[in-house]
Amino acid sequence: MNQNGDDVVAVRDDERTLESLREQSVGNEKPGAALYRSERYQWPVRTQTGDAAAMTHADLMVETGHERDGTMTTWQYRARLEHNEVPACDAGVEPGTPLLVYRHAQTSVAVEASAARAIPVQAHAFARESFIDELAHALHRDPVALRLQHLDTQRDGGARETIRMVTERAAWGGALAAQVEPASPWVRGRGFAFDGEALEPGAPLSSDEKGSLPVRVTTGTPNPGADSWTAWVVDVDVNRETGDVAIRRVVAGRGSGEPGAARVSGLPSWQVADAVERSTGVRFLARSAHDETGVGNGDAAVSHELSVAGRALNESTAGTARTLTSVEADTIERAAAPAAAAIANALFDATGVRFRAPPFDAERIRRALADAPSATLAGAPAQMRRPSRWRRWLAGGGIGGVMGGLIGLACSILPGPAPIAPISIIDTSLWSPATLERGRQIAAAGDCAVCHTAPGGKTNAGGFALDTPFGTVYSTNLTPDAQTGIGTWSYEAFARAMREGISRDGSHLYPAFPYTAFARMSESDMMALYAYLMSQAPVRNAPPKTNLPFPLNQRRLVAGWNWLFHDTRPFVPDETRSTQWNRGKYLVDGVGHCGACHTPRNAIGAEKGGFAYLTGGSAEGWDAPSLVASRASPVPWSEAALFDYLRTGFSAEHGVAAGPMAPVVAGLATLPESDVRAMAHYVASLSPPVDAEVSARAAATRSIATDAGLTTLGFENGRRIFEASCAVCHAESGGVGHFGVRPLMGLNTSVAQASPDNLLHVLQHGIDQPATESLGYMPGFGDVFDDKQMAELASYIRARYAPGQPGWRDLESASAGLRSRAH
Amino acid sequence: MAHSSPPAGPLTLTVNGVRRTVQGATTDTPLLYILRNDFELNGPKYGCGLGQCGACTVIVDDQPTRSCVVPASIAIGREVTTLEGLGTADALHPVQRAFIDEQAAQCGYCLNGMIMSTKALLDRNPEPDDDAIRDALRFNLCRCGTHFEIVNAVRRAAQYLRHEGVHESER
Repeated sequence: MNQNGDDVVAVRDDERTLESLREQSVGNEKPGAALYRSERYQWPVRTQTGDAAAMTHADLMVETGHERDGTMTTWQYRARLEHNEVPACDAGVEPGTPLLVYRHAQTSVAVEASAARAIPVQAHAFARESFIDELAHALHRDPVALRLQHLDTQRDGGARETIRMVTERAAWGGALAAQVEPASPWVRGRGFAFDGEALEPGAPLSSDEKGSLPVRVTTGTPNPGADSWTAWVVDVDVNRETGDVAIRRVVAGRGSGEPGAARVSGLPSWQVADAVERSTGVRFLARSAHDETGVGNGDAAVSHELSVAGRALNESTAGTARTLTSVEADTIERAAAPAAAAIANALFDATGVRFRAPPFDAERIRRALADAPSATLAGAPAQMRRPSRWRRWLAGGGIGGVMGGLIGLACSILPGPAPIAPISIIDTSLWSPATLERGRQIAAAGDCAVCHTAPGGKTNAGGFALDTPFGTVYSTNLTPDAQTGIGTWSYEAFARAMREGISRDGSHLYPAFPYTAFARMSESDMMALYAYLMSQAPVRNAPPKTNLPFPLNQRRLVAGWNWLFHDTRPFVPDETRSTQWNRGKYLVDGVGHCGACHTPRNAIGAEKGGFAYLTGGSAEGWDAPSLVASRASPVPWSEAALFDYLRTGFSAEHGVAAGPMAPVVAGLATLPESDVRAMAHYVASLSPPVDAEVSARAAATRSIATDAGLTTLGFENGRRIFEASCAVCHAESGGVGHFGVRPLMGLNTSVAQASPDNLLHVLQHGIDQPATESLGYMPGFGDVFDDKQMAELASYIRARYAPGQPGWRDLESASAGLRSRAH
Repeated sequence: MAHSSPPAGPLTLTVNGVRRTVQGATTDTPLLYILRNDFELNGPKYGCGLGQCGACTVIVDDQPTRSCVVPASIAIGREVTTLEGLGTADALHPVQRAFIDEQAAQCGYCLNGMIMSTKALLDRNPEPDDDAIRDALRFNLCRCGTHFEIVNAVRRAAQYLRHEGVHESER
C-alpha cells in the first residue's frame, strides 16, 4: 500500500516516537498489535518568488499506527513543497498549518516553515480525509464511523453533531438512487469528507505532546467562541471509458456549537460550484436539490443538485456578483476545504481507483482507469454494494413476456417477495432534531395521519376505513408498536413498503396506499420520515383486517398490478426548469401524492398517465377537481390563488377547501411557506398562464349573479331556502359579517362542477372541521331539509350562480344517495 | 375524514374581560352552549341553531359571530363579548338605551342579535343611512314585526354615540 514509502522524509524525533510505540505494544503483548500505514498526497500550489509565479506541488505525507479495528493510535503528518531539496522540517506549528481534527494517542505534525503559508488549508484536509477513507476501506469499516471513533463524545460534540446531521441529510449508508443500467459505462459512487476547527483560544500547539490529546490553534478567523465544522457528502457518476466525471449531488453543511443545540447551515450553491470546479476543472451549475426544504427563502441549501453548465437554467450564480471581504473569503475557503477529498473518496467508491492528487479531470481519470487492472473496478465499493442484475430484475417484477392473464397465474405460482427480518429495538436517540423535523414536515406533506387515523382514534394508529370501488380497505397502524404497528420494521422494510408496496412480512399492500407516488421520494426524505415515525409514541391498536372479495383477497395479484402500473423510478429533476418548479413537482408527484385523488383511475384502479395527469378524480365520494385548466372554476386559477388555497384553505376567487381536501390543507399549513409556493408554482405551470387583471375582472362580474327571472322558472322554493339559510354567509352583501370567510357561490368550483356531489356533501354535512380555524364553520342542513328541498336548493344555486352550466339532473336521488353513505 | 375528535379537557375562555374555565367540555361544543349553560350568560339566545336567525350573536375579537354554529374552541385566545359585556341595567350601553327608548322589543327574543349587530354596524359605520341599516340587519330575523322600531332604535343609537363620543371605548 505504501507505494511512496521511500519518499517519506525521515524526521528523527518522529521515528523515535514510532519506535518507542512499537516497543510498547510488543511489551504489552496486545493481541491486535499495531499496524502501520502511510500514504502520500499531492496538492498543486502556486508559489510567488518575487514577481514570478510558479506552479509546484505540495507533498503531504500521512503515516499512522493503528489497531485492527482502525483505531489510529499515532498520527504523523508532514508537509513540504516539492521543489525544496532539503526539507527543513520545523516542529513548531504556525498559524494556518494543518489542524488536527481527530484525536490520537500520539500526534506529530511537521510542516516545512517555508511551506506553511503556501499550502492552503484544503490541501491538509485533502490528505487527512483521503487517508482516513483509504484506511476505512482497507479495513472494511464505514468511513464515517471510523471518523466518529476518533472524536470524543464530550469534547468533540459539535464536530460529531455536524457529521451526524450532514450524513443523515445525505442518507449516508442508504442505497444510491437511480441505479445506472449494468451495460452503461457510467458508474456511481459516494464520498464523505470533513474539516473544521475547535476554537480553544490561548492554547499554543506543541506538535509532539506524547500521549496527550491535540490542542487546536486558530487561524485567526474572527468568529470567537464558535467552533466551526464542515462536512461534505458528494455523489459522482464516472464514465469508465472517457473518464468524464459528473458530480450529481453535494450535501454540504456547516455546523457549530454543542450537541443538541447544534444547527447545520448550508452553503450557497455558487460556493459549492466553485469548490467543485477547483477539484474537477469542470464548471457545474449547482442549485438547491428538489428535496431541500425552504427553497427561495434566503437560507443556503444543505443539499445541492448539480448539472453541467449550459444545460440548466442559470439561476445559481445570483450571489456571485458581490465582492467578498477577506473574512468572508476565508470562511468560504474553510467551508470548501473538504470538497476535494469528498470527491476523491467518491471516485474511489465508484471506480476502486484512488486519486491522490487533484485536479480530477477527465483525462487523468481516463488514464488511471485504463491502467487499473479490471479486477479493481469490479471491486469498487459501490459495485460490491449493488445487487446483481438478476436480483434487480426480479425485484423490479420482471416476470415479463406473458399476457395479462398469465401474469396473475405467474404471481400466484412464483414465490412472493421475501419477508424482512424484524428488528428488536431501535435507538431513536440516534436521530438529530433536524432530521426529526424534516420527517415531521414530510409526514405533514404526505398526510400520513389523514388515512392512518381512525375517527376518534389515536394519531397514526390505523383503522381508518377507505372506501374504494373494490371494497373497504382499512389503514394500518403506523406507530412504532412492536405487536400491532411498525415497531419491528427495519429501515429497509419501511423503504420497501413505501416504494414497492410490500409489507415487512413480504405480503403485498393494496395500491390504496399510494406507494406509486412515494416511490418518487428521495432517500434522505425517506430516512427522515422513518426516523420521525419511529420516534413517535407507540400505540397498541390492531386495526380491522381488510377483506376484499375474491379474487382481490389474493394479495399476490398485486404483483401483476405493480408490473403493469408501478413505476419504481425515483424523481429526476428537470434541468431546464427552475429549482422552485422541480421542488413543486417533487412534492406534488412524490410525498404529496396529489394524483392519488386528482388523477382519474382506470378500471382496475391505476392512475391514468399522459394527458389524464391531474385532470380530476374522486376521493371518498367527493369529486376531486382537475388541476389542469379546470373548466369547473369560473375564474382560472392563478399561482397566487393556488397558494392562498393550499396555504389557508380559502381562495376568494374560488372557495373553501372542504371534504378530504381540508386535512390536506391543515397539513400544508404546517410546512415551510416556500414549499407550498413551490407546489402552487408547479400546478399553475400545468395550465395556460393567467392574466391577473383579466381574472380579477371576471371574478368581480361572476360574483354578482342576479336571480332576476329565476323565480318564475320554478326556483321559488330554492330561492327562499337560500335566502333564509345560506344568504347570511354567502350573499354578496348584507349582514354585519360573521366569523370566518365569505365564499361566494358565483366563484365556487363545487357549484360549477359537472357533478353535484361536492355541493350536496357540504349542504348536508356542513364543514365542522375546517382546514384552518379562521375559515369559520358551516352547519350541516341534512337534518333540516329533506331530499326534495335539497334538490330545490341545489337547483337554484346552480341556475343562479353557474348560469353557463347545464342544470344537474336527479338531484333528489343524488342527495338520498349521499345520505345513505356512512360519513 | 380522519380527524380525531378534540379531547375533552378544561376549556379556558376570556368572556367580557374575565378568564373563565369550564371542565369536561369537548372543544366542538358550540360556543353558545358554553356561554349559556356553563357561564350563565343568557343574553345570547338559542334561536334556530343553524346560524340563520342571529339571536345568538356575540362578538369575537370585533367580529360578530353566530355562536350556535361555531365551536367554543375558536374562542380560545380570543376576546368574547356578550350582551352582558356591553352594559348593565344601571349603566346601559348607548345602543341598549336607544332600543329601550324606542321600545323596539315586542317579545324581545331577537333583540340580543339586533343590539349586538347594531353595535358592530356602528363601530364600522357611525352614520349609517336607512338602506345601510336595513342591509346590516337583513339577516337578523324578527317574528313580531317591530322592524320599524328597530330601525329607529339604530338611528337613535347612532345619535347617542355621536353625542357621547363613546362608540369606540364603551365595551
